[in-house]
Formats: sequence, C-alpha cells, structure tokens
Amino acid sequence: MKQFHVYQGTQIKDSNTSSKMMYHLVLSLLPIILFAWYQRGIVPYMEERTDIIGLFYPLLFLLLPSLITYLMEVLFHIHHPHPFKDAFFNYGFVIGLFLGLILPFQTPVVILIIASLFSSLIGKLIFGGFGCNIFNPALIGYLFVLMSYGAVMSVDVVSSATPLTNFKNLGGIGNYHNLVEPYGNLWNFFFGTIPGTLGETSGLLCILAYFYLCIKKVIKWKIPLIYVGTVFGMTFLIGGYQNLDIWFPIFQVLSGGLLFGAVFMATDPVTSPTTPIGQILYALFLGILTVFFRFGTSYPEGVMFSILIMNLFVFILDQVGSKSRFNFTHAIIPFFLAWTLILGLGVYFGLNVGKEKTDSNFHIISKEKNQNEFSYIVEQKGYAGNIKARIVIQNYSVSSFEVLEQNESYYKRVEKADYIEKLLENQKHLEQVDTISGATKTSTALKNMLIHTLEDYEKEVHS
Amino acid sequence: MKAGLKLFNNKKLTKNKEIISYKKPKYVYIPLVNQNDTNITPLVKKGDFVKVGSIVGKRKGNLRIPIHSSVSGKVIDFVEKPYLNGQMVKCIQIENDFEETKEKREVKKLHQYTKEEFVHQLKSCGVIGMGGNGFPTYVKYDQDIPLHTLIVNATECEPYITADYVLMMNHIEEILDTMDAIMEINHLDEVILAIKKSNQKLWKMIHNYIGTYLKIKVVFVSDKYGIGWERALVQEAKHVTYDKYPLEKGIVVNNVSTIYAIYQALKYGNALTERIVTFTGEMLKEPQNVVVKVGTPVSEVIESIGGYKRNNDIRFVAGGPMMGHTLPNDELVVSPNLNCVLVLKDWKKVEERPCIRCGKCVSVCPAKLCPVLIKDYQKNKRRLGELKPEKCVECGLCDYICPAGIPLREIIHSVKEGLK
Amino acid sequence: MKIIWNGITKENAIFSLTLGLCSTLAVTTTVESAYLMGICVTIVLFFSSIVVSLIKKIVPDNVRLPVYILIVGTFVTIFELLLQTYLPNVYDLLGIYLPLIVVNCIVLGRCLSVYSKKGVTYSMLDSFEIGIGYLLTILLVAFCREALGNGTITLVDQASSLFGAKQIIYLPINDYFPMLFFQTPAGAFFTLGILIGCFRLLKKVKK
Repeated sequence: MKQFHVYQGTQIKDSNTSSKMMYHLVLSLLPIILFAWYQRGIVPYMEERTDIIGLFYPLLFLLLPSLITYLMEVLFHIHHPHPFKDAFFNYGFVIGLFLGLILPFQTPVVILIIASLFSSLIGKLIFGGFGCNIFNPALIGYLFVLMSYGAVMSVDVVSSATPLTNFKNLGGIGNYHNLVEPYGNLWNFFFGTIPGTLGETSGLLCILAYFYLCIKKVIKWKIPLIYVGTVFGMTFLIGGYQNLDIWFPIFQVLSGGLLFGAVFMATDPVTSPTTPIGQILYALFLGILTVFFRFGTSYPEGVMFSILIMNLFVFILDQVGSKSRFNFTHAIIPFFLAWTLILGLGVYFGLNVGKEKTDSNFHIISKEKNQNEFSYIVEQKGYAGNIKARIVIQNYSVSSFEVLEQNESYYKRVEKADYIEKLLENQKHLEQVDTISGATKTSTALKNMLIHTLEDYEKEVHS
Repeated sequence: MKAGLKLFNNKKLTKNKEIISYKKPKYVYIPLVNQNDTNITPLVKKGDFVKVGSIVGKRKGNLRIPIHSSVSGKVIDFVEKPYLNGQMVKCIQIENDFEETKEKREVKKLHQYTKEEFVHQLKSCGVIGMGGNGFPTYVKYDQDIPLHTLIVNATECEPYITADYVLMMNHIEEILDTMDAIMEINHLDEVILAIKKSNQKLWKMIHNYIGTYLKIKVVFVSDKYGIGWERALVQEAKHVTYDKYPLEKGIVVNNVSTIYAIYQALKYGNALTERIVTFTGEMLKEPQNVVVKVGTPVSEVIESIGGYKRNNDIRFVAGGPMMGHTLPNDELVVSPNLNCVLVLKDWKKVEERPCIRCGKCVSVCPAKLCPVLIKDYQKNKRRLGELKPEKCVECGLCDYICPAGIPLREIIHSVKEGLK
Repeated sequence: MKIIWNGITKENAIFSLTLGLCSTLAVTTTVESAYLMGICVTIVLFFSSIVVSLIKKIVPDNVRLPVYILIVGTFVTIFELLLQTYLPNVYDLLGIYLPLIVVNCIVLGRCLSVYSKKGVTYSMLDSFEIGIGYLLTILLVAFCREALGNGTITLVDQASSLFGAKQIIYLPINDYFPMLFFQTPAGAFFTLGILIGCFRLLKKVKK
C-alpha cells in the first residue's frame, strides 16, 4: 500500500508569502534611502562642506539602528525559540531602518543607539515578538527620544527650521510668501529639497513607493489614500475659510512626515485593522487627529502622535469592522462621529486659527527696550490675586525673572520647589514643566506669565 | 462578485481530451455515507445477490435517500474504506459478475411526468447533488413553497476540474432537454444556465443547440473562484439574497452533472451508479476524464490510465485543490460526490509563519467572515457568536491567500465542530 | 526577621498585592519623599491596626468601612498636624499625598481583610511587616526613577531640620544621561511595570 504525506489546508497557495512582502517593502524604501544619502552625504561632500566621514554618515545613521534592532531580535529568538520563527532570517532590521528615517538628522549617535534599543525591547519584544505588538515600534522609540531628550534635540545646530516648525512659529497660519517661499516653491516640497528628517522630505518617492507596494499587494492600500485625503480635505476647508488658495492643502500634505508616515508607518500590518471598514475608520480618525495636532496644539508635527493614539483603538475598530460585515448599521455611529469631527474641526480651525490667543488674565504693564535687552513688567492673575513680576529677556533667552508682588496663600511651596529656577532652566520647552501639586494655580500663573512674555518678545523681534 | 479571486486554472491538462471509461472493476465498495452522515441502514447482508440499481442501503432520519449498487453480483463483506474527507466509512463490498443486470424501473417520456412522479423517481433513483455536497435532490422539488426559477450551475470554478465541462461538451442536448422538462413539470417561470464569461468555446457549442429551447437563458458570470457557491451564484445571476436556502425565494440551484443524473433517472430509470471523475495533476502520466462506477477503487482507475509518473514525491488529493483533502494512501473509492482526483508533486517543507494581520483573508472571503479574528478568538464563545463561523463554506480562499501559510480552513472547521 | 521577609516577598504591598499604586507613582520623584512617605504609611498603619483589631468585635458588619475610614482618618490628621508644626518642610514636600493616606488601599485593604479578623499582636506584627516592605519597595522605585531621570540621589533635603545638614548625591551627568522620561508620570508607570516584571521573574526563577 502506498504511503503519502498528509497536509492541512488548500493544495495550491498564492505565491505572495510574508517574506516576499517584507522584501518588496525594503525594496520600495531603497529609493528613499538613496535620495537621503545623496541629499545629506554626497551633495555636501561635492560642495566641500563635509569630509569623507560626512559622506557616509547618512548610511551609517540608517545602518546602526537596523543592526541593533536585528541583533536584539536574534537574541530574543535564541532565548525564546518558536517553532515557526527563524532566529537569523528575521525582519527586525526594518524597525531600525524606519527609526533612522524618522529621527532628526542631528540626533547624536548615542541617542540613536538608546532609541533603537528602547524601540526594539519595549516597542516589540516585550509584547511577544513579531506579530504581537500593539504599537508601532519605531514610533515608540521616537516618542521616548522626544520625551527624554527634548532639550538636546531642539538645538538647531546646522540646519534651519523645517517647514512645519516655521509654520508653527508664525502662529499656525500664513500666506504663500512666508510659508512656502523660504524653501523655494511647491516643487521643492514634492521632490524633497527641503530640510527635514531623512525619510520624510521627498514626497515623490513616497508616492511612487505607495504605487509600487499597491501593485505588489503588500500594504493595505485604503489607509494612506483615505488618510492623506482627509488631511487634504480638512486643510482645504481651513484654507477656504482663511481665503488661501489650493496651495495651502498641498503644502500641508507635502510637508512634515505625513506622506512617509501614511505609506509606511500607518500601514504597518501588525498594528493596523484587518477589516475593510475598520481600515477606513482608522484612516479617517488618523486624518482628524493629525489636523487637530497640527492646528490645535503647539506641536508642529502630529503624525506620530495620531498613529500611536489610533494604535490603541485598533481592537475596537476591528470589532466594529467584523460586526458591520454582516449588518452595516453597526458602523453608522463611528462614521457619523468621523464626519462630524471632520466638518466641525475644519470649520472651527478655519475660523479661529491665527487669531491671537489673548489671555485676559495677563497684562503687560510696561515694556522697555535697551539695545538687545527687553525688560518687561507683567501682571497675571494667580490664585488669590494678581502676581506682578519683572522679566528681562536678552537674545532669545530670559536672563532674570523676579516676582515683585504676590498675595498667594501657598507661595511657599513654589519657593521651596525652586520653581522659578526650574522655569528658567527649561525655558525652551516650557510646556513640559509640571506644576507644583498643592500650588497649582500659582505655578500655572507663573508659567503662563513667562510664556506670554516670550510670545510678545517673539512678536516684537519678528516685526 | 466582489470577494473571491481569479485563480490560475490548470484545466488544460484534461480539457480537450475525450472521455474514457473504466466500467469493469472486479470489486466495488459502495460507501454507506451521504452528506458526511454515516447513519445509513444497510438493506442487504453477506451473500445476497444484487443487480445494478438495487437498493443496498437507506439513510435514516428525515432525508431517506436510498443508496444503490453500481454492479450486479454478490455481496461479499462490509469493509472500511477511506472517504473523500479523510475519514474511514463502512462500505459494502460487492463482487462484480460483469453481467450488468439492471433493476427495472418504470419510465415515461420526459415531459409527461407529473410533479409527484418526478419527485418519486428522483428519490427512488437516489439522485444527489453531484457538485460536492451530496444533498438529496428530490427534497428541493418536494417543498410547499412555489418554485419559479431553476439555475443550473455549470461554472465549475475550482482549478484542475473539467468533469462538468466535458459532460456538457458531449451531452449538451440531453442536458438542455432535461432542463426544459423540469421547467414544464414544475411549472417554472425560467431556467438559467450559468457559465463563466471566459468559457467561449462552451458558449459557441451551446449556441448551436440553444435555439430550439427558447425558454432557456444562458447567463455569464464572473471568472472568479467562489462563483460556484450557491449564494454567490444566485446573487450574481438573479440579484437575489436569501436567508438560509434559495428555496425561500422560490429558486432551485442544481449542478449540471446532477441534471444529467436526473436525465438518466427520468429517461432510463437508471439509479445514480456512475459519474465522470477528472483524474489530473502533474504526477499522473496521462491525466484524463474517466467515467467510473460508484465504489470503484481509485487506484485501479489510475493504473488503467497509465499510473503515476513516480512512486514517491506524491501528494494525493481527493477533490479539487481548494476544497479537497489530502489522503495518506490511494485506497479511496469513488462516491457520487467525488468530482476529481488530483495527484500533485509533494511539497518539500511546510512554511508556516506567525500571522502578520495583513487582512487579506478578510478581503477575499465570499461569506463576509473575518478568518483572522476567528483564529484569534478560537476559545472565546461570546466573541465567536458575533463572528458567525458557522457561515463558513470551507472554500479555502483564506487559506490560499494567507502569506504566512496558516491553515485557516482547518482552524475554522475545528471551530465549527467545537460549536456544534 | 522572617516576618519582615514575608512582607517583602510574598505579600509585598506594591509588587505582589499591587495596592497603593497612586501614591507610589506620585511621591517617587525623589528618594527622600519616598522614604518619608514610607515612614508615614508605616506609622499610620501601625496605629490603625492596633485600634481596628481592638474594636473588631463591637463593629457591626455593615458600617465597617466608614468606621475604619474614620479611625485611619483620625490618625492621619493627628500625624498631619504634628508634621505641620514640627516638620513643615516635610509637610510641604509630601503635599496632597499625606491626607490621601486615609484612602490608601494598603491601609484600608489590610484593615478590612486582616486586622478585623485577627488579634492585636498579630495585627501589629503584620502592619510592621507590610510597612517595612512598602518602605523598601518604594525606595527602590524612587532610586531608579531619580537616578535615571534626574541624575541625583536626594538623601536629605527637605527634612534637613530633622537630620541636620542637606545630603544630595550628584551622579555624573552628560548630554545623554539623565533621561527626562523617567521623571514624567509615564516614566513612573514604566519603571513600576519593569520592576514588577523583574520581581515576578525572580520569584519564578527561585521556584
């Protein structure tokens, strides 16, 4: 009697395996890597701005995190052998590659190493390895770096401000002249000759990568399309209210990490929904959140936060998606919510953006200018009355902050915590300074006083 | 059709060859099974003499379909033989005396049957659905709900299989005649023959004969795998959705081989004792369509058509590549719902990787299920109630498309079994 | 000695029982506030355990919770007033989390589950062991958070009136070393999570 092998499942299989899909993904990243090398390494070398190390530095910048994440994955698999996961042919280096492409180019090497360790360990391996993580690991590493090393990273040493930081500095609105022209015209944005991180500058290459990956059936094609479409639509609405032409939504879509994040980070298969309706809702809310972060908060870039927040909701979106396959009424409420938010936020930001946020509790009593030095006497409402202080700013930095009059009941706590010194130390990123518990209103008032004074100073200097 | 996939169909191996017969097996092993139900009462014992078409077993329960012998001869024994889903079933071993003595049944002219006689003839000749499931056909015509449409499923969407195609190329007149007769007997409003858009040769041939049957309509359906499923076919051909059975909306769906079996039953009083089986695959020397008797051991038929190319390196599949099961040996016997025997090259190693949650299985499922979520919540009864795995038809598309090689078809099948 | 060991390993308030996490996360920004909080909780726990186990027989079942809150609240208020008078710096340092000891799950949970059922000596010893375990654990968390997040180890700063002089150990810092992440609330959760994981791993390895 003959003996044959028995197998489960169908006897013919599609030739698109997960290894092939990852291979196509890396292949689509190659033009972006080469362009980044050309722009940051070869061109400065040709123009004799850097030496031979600077020529290869972009490649090292991308190679180092990839190597570290790959090694971490190998170690993990040696420690936890899994019958179906191969230790040495893993795809852990893709995380490191993404990390190198989204971190700012002036990040020191040590921070790069720490970030890749963190994103590999905490972003992926602690959840159980490949296929088990909830959050996008590269974005977790980026978030950690942003929170821990805000001071180090915001030092603009060589490069000028990215278009979005410029956009934020101008108060969140502007016209073609001061938003786009400092960098050329919109074609520069499209081809990528603008400052930014390694991966996000070239819009053209990201779009080409999207089409390539769609043809090879590697990514979830609905997500980038609807995500970018939502951002375009909402910024079109905002631009319409501000009487800005079609260039404004195009500028918003092409600047920042939107295209790169939409094509590569939001479509990460493990951390995005599997059902079609779930994917559509995911992309809609991603668009809403990105526009909210760009216009409604003081952060210039909202893509990373929106993707991480929506990663939390993937579970719910899959539930909605699976139930609505049989009966569409389950998905009506989320869609309704999405549409209301799109229209509501679009109109709200359209009407209110750029308006000066006047704090009615803040008054400038006197303002003196002495060559480069501005001396303010300001007043802010605190807990039990007004606090009066003298703030001296010189060359973009506050040199002294002296409280002249106050009637606060818990001012001692603020003094004990050396809060004024803390504010002066962290004056570059005041949003991150915590208030004192037990003297919340007083410490908030002091912080706001400093923030509003600095805002006024910026306006004075720019005019 | 939105879901489903266009597969590479590999039908060239057997499409244009003539049908050959293998009708002289020494022993036949009649499987006592219908629709995976082995609750069949044997009505003969050892030593009994039977004729072609004698009843040797009857199914218990509500659907009391009889099982017939396919040869004349002596009942030898009751043995266990593999069935096409991999299980072993009890079979009646009959020794063939090669006389071909038939059991006589009353017959009339096709169009002169009344509805009751029609149903009775179908039941007594044991006609069952030959597209794969084996549902007793008479039940579809024996309902109180008035019927108005018959859809004949001639799509044969699974790759490699050409049994229905060659049947139609050789017996189209009989099939069209039967369809017309069924329409008249049951007072139907229309009869539809559904074929795939890409089947141009078939359409050209049908076109020559369809002129005489003014009331038969030919409908072209999409080329995808999955269109052969009853629900998808009714949706595409008639744009009708139903809850459980198409009978609710007055529609009957029959496979085209079943129509030919109805022809044999009505015209000659022949019980369902033989069928066309496609023997194909790259490891057979001469892939063929063969007319075989029910109960014939498949190994004999393969030997008669030339045998295997090699004796090792073989994957033996009963059924098509998408819905069939691999068997550990070639002891399989022909049952009325076996449409293909596929002999493929062995796989070197099985690639199974962790699920990357790409969602391709969800986008391709014709029954609108979410296989990835069913796999995740295998143990969670409450969540499974929302995911409705009982709607799965085991078409195998999710399994085919999965990049990680996860055996989704088996997983959902075991979940379904667990829920019963 | 064995009693204290039980409080640290098997019935560790934070790592095993995971109670009182709110105040843990809040006061562990410096080592000093951590051990001061630990001492306060131990003292309150000690006295409440005595009173609760003494009156356990006369309290009806359906008013147990309000009665115990009352008892613990009394002791916390006494303690608070004492601190406000004699050690006002410490009072300011612990801020709002000192009155919150009243509803700290460790105190209330132990009262409801253990002290209302056992004798006085047992309750006293148990409170002592839980308190010491809590103190050592909270010290560990604060040490990790402050050393990694701020680059200092504050041994005596606000309580200098009690001990005499200030004593802050400054660790060598550079551009990369103090990671601000650990001083944030997110870092608190993160450190706690990692430490609980390590603790459970140690327990598993020991078996």
